[in-house]
Amino acid sequence: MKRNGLAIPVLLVASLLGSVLVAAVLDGRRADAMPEESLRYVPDARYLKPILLGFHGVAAGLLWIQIGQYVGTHVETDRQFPQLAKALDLATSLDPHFLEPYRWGGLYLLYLGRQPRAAVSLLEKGAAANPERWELPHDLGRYYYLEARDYGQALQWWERAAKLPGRPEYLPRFVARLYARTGQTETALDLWLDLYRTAHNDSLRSLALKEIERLRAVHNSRSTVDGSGGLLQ
Amino acid sequence: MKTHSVPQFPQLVGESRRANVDRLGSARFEESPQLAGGFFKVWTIALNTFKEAVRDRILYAILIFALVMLAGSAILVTISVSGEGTIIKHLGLACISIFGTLIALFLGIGLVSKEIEKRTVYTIISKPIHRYQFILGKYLGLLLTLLVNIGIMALVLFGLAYLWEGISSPRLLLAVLFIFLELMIVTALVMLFSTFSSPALSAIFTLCLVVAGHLSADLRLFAARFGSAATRLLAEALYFLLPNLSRLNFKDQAVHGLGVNAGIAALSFSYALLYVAALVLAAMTLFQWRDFK
Repeated sequence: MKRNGLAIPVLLVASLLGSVLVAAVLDGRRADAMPEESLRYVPDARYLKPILLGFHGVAAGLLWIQIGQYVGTHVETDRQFPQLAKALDLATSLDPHFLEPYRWGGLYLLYLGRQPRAAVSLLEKGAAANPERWELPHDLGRYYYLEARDYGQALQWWERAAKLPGRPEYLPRFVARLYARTGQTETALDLWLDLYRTAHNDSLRSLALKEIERLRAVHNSRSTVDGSGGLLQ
Repeated sequence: MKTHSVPQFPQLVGESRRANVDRLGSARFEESPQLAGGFFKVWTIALNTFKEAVRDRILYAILIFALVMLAGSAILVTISVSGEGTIIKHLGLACISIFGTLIALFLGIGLVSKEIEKRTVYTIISKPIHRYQFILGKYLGLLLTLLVNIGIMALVLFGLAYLWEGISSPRLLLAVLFIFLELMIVTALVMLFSTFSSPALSAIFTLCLVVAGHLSADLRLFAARFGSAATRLLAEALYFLLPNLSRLNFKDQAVHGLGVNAGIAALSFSYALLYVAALVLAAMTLFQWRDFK
């Protein structure tokens, strides 16, 4: 009886230690074989969504956490992100109103994955699914302004973002400046005048005033050159 | 409706002004005109079902696990790049829904069948209680148990959402309300099966219907695309017959603060109540037909 009583705890400890040892060996072999790939297989949202029985939002959240780990792992290793666009597409298809995968995912695709086309299509998908949110047209405008240097497109997206609720205070200023930059001085001037009238603080009001004076000077000099003489008041 | 008065148990009549509902707990009620009302009988059964349920260890096991999962979500999101609030709310609502279903299932499977198996049902139906009152009381008792548990889980979720985002949207409350409505359907389903089958079969049937209930819209779509006329007709019939649980899913609106169409919400609410009423009435009918000899 005594021997039996001792045998079970001994076997328990031995099997526990054995499992830990085997797990450690397995981990070592896997590390030698290939880097851990968390997003090797990305299913299609059309088939995955029905199986989730209404819990697609949770799945999108968990996938977003995993995408973060995937990006982090590959930034530290090969800096290749072959599955990133597909995983982001899945996360945003599972929960089309989850903004972070569009916004951060767009940045990852653009600056880490060097896939501007995928980044733009992801942001455009987000803007179409969330027409009331300013963030996605704002990010698209930023891409066209900073990366593509397509000021017409940037203006179009920022103008759209500037009309949406909750947009940052600086957006109308960006729009006004872009109008000036694309040669549409009168529209730019109107926007700055509107900003001057509606500004909440003195610094913004003085900035608007400065821009109005600069644009008036530009406009007046142009009018003098082409002889139209239309001094903006 | 069959009523069972006391002749088989004259000793209980001996107590004249008291009706004993032994197995249902220690509750006793005075047979005064006010207390003799059907509502009181149903309420007594409901209260005792609730007391019986809260004594069940499995309830605490599920509840503690759910609370640990809820708290765990707050730790999980620390490895997320951003969007922590969204993930916490999604995970929290999923926890409430999944663990609520488990509670409904584990407690519901024995709701009627346990009474039959232990033969305590004979004592109960020999009292001046209608069978439908017994079923209704049992159902309401389990709902009360669910309400308390869902309330505890919801409070934890609201607390977490508040801690993380500084605000707790009232839309979260709406999502929890609709989860509760879904659980009302699950409870009614499990009770319906419990009236005529074993606990294991009741659990299997209910789970199958819960899965089918989330897929019924896809079933209709699938039949419309690929099926023959007969298949389409069958799919259409199943679509309306099966509980459409996807209609009660307002989780996305709650998590992202999206607008909720009041008309759709009101219709979904009415749909759930009508479906529950149909299931409870079916359970009453089956229990009424059952021969206890």
